Amino acid sequence: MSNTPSPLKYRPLRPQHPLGIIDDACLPLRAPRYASCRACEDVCPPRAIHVEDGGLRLDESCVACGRCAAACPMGALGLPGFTMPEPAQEKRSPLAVDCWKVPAKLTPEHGMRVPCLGGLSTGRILEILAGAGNRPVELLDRGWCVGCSAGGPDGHPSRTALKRACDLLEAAGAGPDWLPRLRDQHLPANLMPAAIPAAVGEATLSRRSFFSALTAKAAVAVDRIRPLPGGEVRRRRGFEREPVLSRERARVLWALDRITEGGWLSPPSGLFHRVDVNANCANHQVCASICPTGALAVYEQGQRSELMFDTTLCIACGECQSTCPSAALQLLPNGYAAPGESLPDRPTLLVTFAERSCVECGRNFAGLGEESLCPQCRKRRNLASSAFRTLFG
Amino acid sequence: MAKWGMVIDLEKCTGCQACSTACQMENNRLPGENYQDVLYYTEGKQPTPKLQWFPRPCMQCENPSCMHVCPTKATYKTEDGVVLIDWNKCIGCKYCMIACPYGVRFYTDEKPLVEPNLKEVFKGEGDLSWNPPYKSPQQDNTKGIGIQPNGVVSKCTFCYHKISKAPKGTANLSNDDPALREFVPACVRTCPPTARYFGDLDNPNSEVNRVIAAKKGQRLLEHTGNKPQVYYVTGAGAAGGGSIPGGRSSANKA
Repeated sequence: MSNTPSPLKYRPLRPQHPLGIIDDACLPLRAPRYASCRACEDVCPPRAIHVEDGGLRLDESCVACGRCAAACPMGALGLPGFTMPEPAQEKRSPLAVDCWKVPAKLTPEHGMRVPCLGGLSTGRILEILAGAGNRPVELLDRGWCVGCSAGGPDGHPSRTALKRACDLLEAAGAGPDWLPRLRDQHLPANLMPAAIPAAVGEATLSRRSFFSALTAKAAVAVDRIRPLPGGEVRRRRGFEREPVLSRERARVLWALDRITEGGWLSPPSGLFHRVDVNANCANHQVCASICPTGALAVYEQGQRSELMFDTTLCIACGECQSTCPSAALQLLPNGYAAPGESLPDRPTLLVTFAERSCVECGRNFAGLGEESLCPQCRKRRNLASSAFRTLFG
Repeated sequence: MAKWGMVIDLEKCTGCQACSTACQMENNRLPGENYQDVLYYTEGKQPTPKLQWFPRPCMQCENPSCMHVCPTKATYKTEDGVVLIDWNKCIGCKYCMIACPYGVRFYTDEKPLVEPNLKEVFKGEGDLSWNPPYKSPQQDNTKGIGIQPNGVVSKCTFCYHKISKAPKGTANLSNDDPALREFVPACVRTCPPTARYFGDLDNPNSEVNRVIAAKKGQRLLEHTGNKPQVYYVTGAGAAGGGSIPGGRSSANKA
C-alpha cells in the first residue's frame, strides 16, 4: 500500500475559471451525504462556493482569491499562482510576499506575488519558507484587506495560518530567525484596484506541473516522517475507500522536513490526531466503512480481523466517533502532542478480534467469549424464540 | 396515501417456503439471501417437542431503527409506508443490520452460502453482484429494487415495483381481484394456503384491518418501539396462549 495520492483528476469548477478541484480528495465528494465538511463554503468572502449533493457549485461572484483552497483540510481545491517561482539563492534580503492587487513595481525586488495572501494556507507558507533558502519570509500587509472583496472586517486574512505555521516551526525545533512574519507596509487606499487582476505577467507554473509537483512531494514527505512497514501487504476487507493523504498535510510535512533537514525534534503538536478504542468495541467495523480518508481500515490476518489506524491520514473530521454503534471510539485531536511523545507506527493496531465461522451460516464473524453463532444468526434465533412465546404462547 | 401492511395467518401457514422461492425469483436473489424466509424453532424435548415456524419478511416498521442510524440517509420511508434503500447512497457500512431487531437486511459480499458460487458462475456486469440467468425486469437503484450491486445492503421492499403501480385508493391487494393481481407482492400472490393478506392499514374497511381486528393481530418485538406494519394472527380469535396452528401442537392431538 502506498499513500501516494491517486492520479490527478483536476478539473476547473467553472469553465475557464482558475479554481480547480481534485474530486478524489474533497470530503463531501468522497463521502457524499454524510461528510459534514463545509470549510470552503464557510470561509468564502463573496459566498460563491457551495457544497451540494453531487458536487461543488461555484457562482460567478467568485473573486479567485483562493481562500477556499487555503481552508480546505484536504487541500482538494487549488488555484495557480501560489507556488514559489525559482528561488533566488544568494539574496540575503527578506523574501516579501505581496498580493496581485499591488502594482508590480511597488513589490520589493525579488519578492513573490500571489493572488491573495488569504489564499496561503499553513502548508503554503511553510512551503514558501522552505523554498526561500535562508531568507526570512515577510508577508506584507498593505492595509487594504478590510476594504477588499477578498478580505473582510478581520483585516489581514493570513493571520491564523501564519500563527499556526509559527507554532509548528517552533514545535519542530526551528529557531526564532526562521519564523515568517507579517509586516505592515501600508499603501494609499486609492491605489487599490477593484478586482484581483488576472494572472498576466505573473510567474506561475502551469496547472499541470502545479499539481504534479505536489503529488511527488506528498509521498516523500510522509515516508520520511514515518515509513510504512515493508513486506507483505495485508488485504483490506470490504469496500473501504482507497486511502488519501490530505495535500495540505503533505505540504506541511514536506516543508517542515526540508526546513529542519530531517532533524525533527518531535512531531509538531497539532499535526497528528489519535483514535482510542475502548472495551465496548464489538467489531462492527462501521468506523472503517465510514472513514472518509481511509485512516481507519480493517485488515484480515489469518483468523483475526484487525482495526488499524494511520495517523498520517487522519484529519480529525470526527465521523468515526459520532457513528460508532457502541460508542467505543474516541477521537483525540492532536493526540500525540505530549512533550517527547513520538509518533506511533503506521498503521497503528487499535483492536484485534479472533474470527470463527458461524455454526449455522458458515460465515466468519468476530466472536466474543464462546459464542458460536454470528450476530445475524443469533438475532434470528432470538427473534424466533421470542416470537414463539408471543405468537404461540 | 395508503399505508401498506401485511397480515400473516399462522393458522393457515404450512411452512412450505413457496413465499421464499417466489421472492427469490421476483427479486433476483440467491439461495439463503431471500428477502423473506420462514424461521423454524423447536422447544421442548422428546416425546413432546414443539416445532413452530413463521415467515419473516421485512416488517416495514412505522418507526424504523435502521433508517434512524443510516449515516448517509440511504434508508428512507416512502409516503405509502414502505422502508426502502437507495443503493446509490448506501456505502455498505452495515449499521442498519446492527440496528434492525428483526434481522431482515442482507449484505451479500461475503462468503457464499452455496457451492458452487453462483456469483462466479454468472458474473455480474459493472457494479452488479451477479447476473442471474432469469431476470426480473425491474432495476431501480434508488429504491433498492433489482439485482443487488456490490457493497450495499438490501432488504424486502414489499415488492414495491408492483404495489406502487396499484390504482390509488386500493384497499386490498389480493389474488381475488383479477384486475389487481399484477400488483400483489410475490409472496402474497404465491402463498398456496392464502395465509397472507395485503392491503392498506389506513383504510378501516380493508381486509388487513378486518383480520387484525377479528383475530387479534400481533406484532413482533413490540418493546423495541419499531411498530411493524406486518401483523401475525394465530387462530380462533385468540392471541397468545390461544389455539396453535392446526395439527402442529401436541395439545391439539390430545
